[in-house]
Amino acid sequence: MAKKSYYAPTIERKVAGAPGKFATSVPSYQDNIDEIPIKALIENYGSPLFVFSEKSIRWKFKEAQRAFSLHYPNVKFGWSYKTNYLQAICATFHQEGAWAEVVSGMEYERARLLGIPGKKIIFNGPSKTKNDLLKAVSEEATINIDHLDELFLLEEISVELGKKPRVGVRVNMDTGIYPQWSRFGFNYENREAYRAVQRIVTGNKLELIGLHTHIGTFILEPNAYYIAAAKLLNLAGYIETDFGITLQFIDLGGGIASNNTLCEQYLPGDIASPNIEQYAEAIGKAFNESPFCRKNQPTLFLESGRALIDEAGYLVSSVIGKKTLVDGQKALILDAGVNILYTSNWYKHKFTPAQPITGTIENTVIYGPLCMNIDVMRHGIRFPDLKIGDAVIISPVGAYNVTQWMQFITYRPNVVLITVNGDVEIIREKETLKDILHKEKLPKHLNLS
Amino acid sequence: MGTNDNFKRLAMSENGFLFDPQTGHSYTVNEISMEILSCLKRGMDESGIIKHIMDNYDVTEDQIKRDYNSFIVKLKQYSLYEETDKELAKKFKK
Repeated sequence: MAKKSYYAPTIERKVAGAPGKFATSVPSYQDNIDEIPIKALIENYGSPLFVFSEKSIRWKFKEAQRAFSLHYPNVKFGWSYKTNYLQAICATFHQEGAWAEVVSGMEYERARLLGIPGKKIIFNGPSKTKNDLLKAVSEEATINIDHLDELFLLEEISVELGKKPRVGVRVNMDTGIYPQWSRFGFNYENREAYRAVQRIVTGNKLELIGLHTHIGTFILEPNAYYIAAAKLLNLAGYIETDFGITLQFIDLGGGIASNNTLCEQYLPGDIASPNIEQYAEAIGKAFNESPFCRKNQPTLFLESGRALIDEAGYLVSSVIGKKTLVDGQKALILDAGVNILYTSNWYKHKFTPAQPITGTIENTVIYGPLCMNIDVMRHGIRFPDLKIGDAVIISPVGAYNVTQWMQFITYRPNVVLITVNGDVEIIREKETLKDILHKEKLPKHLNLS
Repeated sequence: MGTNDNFKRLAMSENGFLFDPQTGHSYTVNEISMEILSCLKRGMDESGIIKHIMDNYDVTEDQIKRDYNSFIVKLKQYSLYEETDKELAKKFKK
């Protein structure tokens, strides 16, 4: 007689007053991404593995473009390089019509290497070196000024190159959210931003073409964008009246939330995060109410990164060990750790088994493979019993992980893109020891061989 | 020393629901757990239980040994099981 199929024994105490229907989800499984079986992905490209869906990226971009242009047609997106600057990802957004939004010389070079002209690059950030700015000014990039020293440096460069840099002023402000970001740019409420404009006008070496703000990150309140847009447009009105300068753009930066769930958030992100239409409506309302806008129709720039790429990225990982902790909790050890999933510091990612579920659902701690106590991917998640070698899909992971990941004790894995045609392309190869040692130098007297 | 019969007082339903009339706690278990608990109730020892599971289910000895030990840890955690002096002595001898 054939033996019955086996799964590990479990016992779980029922607790009165357990969380309601929103706090726990019924685990299900997902055995493919864009119809490519997870098993085949692991067989061909290894585990762990980052997987991006080109279809999702393009769909999300179109959705955002449609949502914003419905309210205000003169809208343009700048692809936020720091969110994910893998060439294939940037190129996809550029093909869809996005400009490049960069925050360092390295990102600027990346954009140029992809063939993006300086005129379609927005250069932000607090750390632009003189060399970075010389290049950006000569190539007519739009430079959003972060602080007065940068303003003075740009004036110097203007004289040196005999060319007027095209600049915006970065503004920080109170939009009713906490924490208020005040470290970047010039403050709106205390008129520091107005004085910066005044300084640009009197210096007469820079061409002021716009205003920029970035109110924060993972903003769950669309109304904050209404306030930000209204304040910038109000300032733009003053600039026109007081200095006779009609600004060409209002840049509202990024910060729009994805469907991820913050660690301290109770409701899961796919319920708690506003959808892109709600942000578009809030911003569109401010633009359509503004007399400056009605008269001049400035370009609305958006530099949303996370909301456009997060859901298009998955991390496929495999179970390498199981254990029962001293408190009786189940623990799984995966082959992907916090070093490659940097965003696990602030998100409770979704963990989905990649094969049909057997056995009971239990509270489980999910660890990575690092020999470090901090390597916890999820605390106390309701999870089914998995076998060694079973795969798990971690999502959404498209934003910030493949830029902020760290090489530590092992190699960073392959990154693949599932194209719109259903082909799988490696867009970043798994590292080798040669890659890691490439930049190291061993002084002669320490050579042991 | 200890007694291992706390689990004997559990009321077990056929579909994996356990109730402890002494503490009022209730538990859910899966099919394999039900098998193991039934064996324990019948007074079978570890090796007998492992053999019983291996005879009936598609599992290697290594796997069931690991899982059995994890399961016992959990029972202890819920104060449902304690090893008897005899069992401890047997383990110690090993």
